Amino acid sequence: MVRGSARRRWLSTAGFYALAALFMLPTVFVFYWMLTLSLKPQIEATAYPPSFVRFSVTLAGYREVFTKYPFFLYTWNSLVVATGCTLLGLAVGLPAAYSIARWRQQQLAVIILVARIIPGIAYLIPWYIFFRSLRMVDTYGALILTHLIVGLPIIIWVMISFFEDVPADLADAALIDGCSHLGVFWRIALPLVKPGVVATGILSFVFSWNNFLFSVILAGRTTRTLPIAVYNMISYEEINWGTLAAAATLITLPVLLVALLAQRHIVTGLTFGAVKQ
Amino acid sequence: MAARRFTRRHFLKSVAAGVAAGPFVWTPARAQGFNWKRFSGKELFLLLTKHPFIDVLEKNIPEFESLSGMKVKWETLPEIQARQKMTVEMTANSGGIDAFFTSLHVEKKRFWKAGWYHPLNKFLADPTLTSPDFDWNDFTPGARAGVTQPDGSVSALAAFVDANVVFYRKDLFGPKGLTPPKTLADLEPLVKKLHAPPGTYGIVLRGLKNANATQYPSILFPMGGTYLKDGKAALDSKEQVAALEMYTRLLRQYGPPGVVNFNWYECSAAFMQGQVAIYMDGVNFASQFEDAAKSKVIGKVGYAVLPSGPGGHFSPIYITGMAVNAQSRNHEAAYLFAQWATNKTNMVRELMAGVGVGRASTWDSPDVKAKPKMPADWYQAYQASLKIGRQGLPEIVGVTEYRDIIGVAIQKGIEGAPAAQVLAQAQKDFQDLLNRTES
Repeated sequence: MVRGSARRRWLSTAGFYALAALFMLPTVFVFYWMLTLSLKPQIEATAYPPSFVRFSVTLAGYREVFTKYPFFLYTWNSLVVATGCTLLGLAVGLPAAYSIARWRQQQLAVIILVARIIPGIAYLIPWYIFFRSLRMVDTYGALILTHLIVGLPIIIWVMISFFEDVPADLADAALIDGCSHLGVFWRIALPLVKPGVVATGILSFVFSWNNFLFSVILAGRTTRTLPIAVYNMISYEEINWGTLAAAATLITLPVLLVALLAQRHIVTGLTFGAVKQ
Repeated sequence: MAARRFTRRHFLKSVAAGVAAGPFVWTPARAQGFNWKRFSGKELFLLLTKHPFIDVLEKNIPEFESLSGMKVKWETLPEIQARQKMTVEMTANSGGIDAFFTSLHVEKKRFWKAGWYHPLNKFLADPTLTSPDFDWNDFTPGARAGVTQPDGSVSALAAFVDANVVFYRKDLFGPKGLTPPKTLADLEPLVKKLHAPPGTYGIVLRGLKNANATQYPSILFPMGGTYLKDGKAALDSKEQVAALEMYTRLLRQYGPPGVVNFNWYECSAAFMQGQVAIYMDGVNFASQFEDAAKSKVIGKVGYAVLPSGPGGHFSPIYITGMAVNAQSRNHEAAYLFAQWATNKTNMVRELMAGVGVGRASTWDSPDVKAKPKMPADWYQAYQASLKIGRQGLPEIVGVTEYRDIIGVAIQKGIEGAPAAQVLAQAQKDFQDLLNRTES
């Protein structure tokens, strides 16, 4: 009897991994293809049938990324903008989410969501006129503020459910003990939702890091971010695959690392509040 | 900036005006006295496009700065993104862009109607603004027509001129004693002889919708077809039917598998991998064919002018140019840049780098002849094509929409639908488009 149950457990574990592998294959393959493409010479990158495993390795793509393009500048720009957007988003979004959750301001929450639902391209021309008259085109400020349209609603909406899970009694107890509302938020609520803060921070960072559209229009030569850099490899009737894949790999790498390191937080963040005690 | 309304009367009047204006004439005696420094101290901003022409030009911009005493800032974006940025800038009426690189085959009528091009006619005729050695008439007739609007206004100075030519594999032609096709009638038997799948496919042309619209005229024009007849859609003419039948039959019978979804990228890759005997497309691809890092057919490619047909001998051309932004506050200074970018010296540099330009004098330049980057037959095919150049796409506002309309018809044709039937639908859609956008 005992042996039978052990075997069943083994089978279900194997089945689980087989299924997981099946679902992961398409995702992982994309990364594998990107990585191998970045190492192939152009002539093999376009070969048909494609060579998946055996190919000659060159680092020319990576060399070109760093020598022909100001890749470090782009990376720095992306870092500044994504970090700025995330910090500002948290600074504004956390109190907002707390307030919405504590005082049940549902209408406010919906209005914020509407801002996220409208396609970003609709904002572009008004923004451009706005930032142009403020002389803010081609500045970090303009990029950070515009990226908030993507980051802020995420932060607020995910954090609302986190704050809703903080028992109201805790806050009331603190208030009776003489704590101010701001104090309750800062000393009681915020420490309790730390995993959520980490998760939303990362999500907002990734959204900003990957944003392409706003950066094309509002960034200039000095503030251009990484996703635009990838497009630099596409010329008239010519695509430089090796360099493009090398740039894509380098751009994906930090996000991938951050996501892997903080994976636990992200999963908590996405599902937290889904089940109420 | 009110959009200009365009009517037939307007068109006739403008053609007359264009003819009356005639060629621009300069007196070479003043060549030495031209003052490039007139706008010294000003700052220009350019919106450029990722393009081989720009790659060469960018390196020499400091030379213009010291020549003119102006400071030049610029941004280079891929074509689609540059167009997005341009649209936003122009809608916002920012005046931030002084000169821009424009794909006339897509943007010509649309930008003109929106009033984004500053007309250059007066500048070209003004000896204080145009250096005597610039020589407008040095541009090929096709290049001049490509930058001139129906009302006779010059919207840009032609920079890069792409012409469709025949690429063929000398190593496959030679042993069989074959020569490149002289006429459309030669083409199909030739392709048939070379077709030996799966090693070699007879021919490749763009099959994917929209993309195929720039290659289709390689067959359509010699067949005698046109896009418009008296301002009305002419997609259902018998020449159109014959052309579409031929284009699609060639691909269906002698093209590589999946050709119906081939864009330029798949076509050129198949050719560079040595899988195709004949490929007809933009002459610019040759620089990749002759690059050992990218091509397996280096040294094996022959270049020839497109075959002629019952309707005549044409090469579809696609022109990009340097334009002055109507919203700029420095029209004249921006014009100086556009003029410099397309002058003889710079065009020779482009040609030496293997980028084709529509300036007749550059082809005989001793510099180009001394250090040819490309094979001799490439220069010959290119030059011959420029002489028979005709704008490859209809010069209308809705170019992209047209490309989709004919593109779908071609794709259906490749999949086996009768040409007359798919073209009847295309004709209807095209006329609807013209009614919507051209009146």
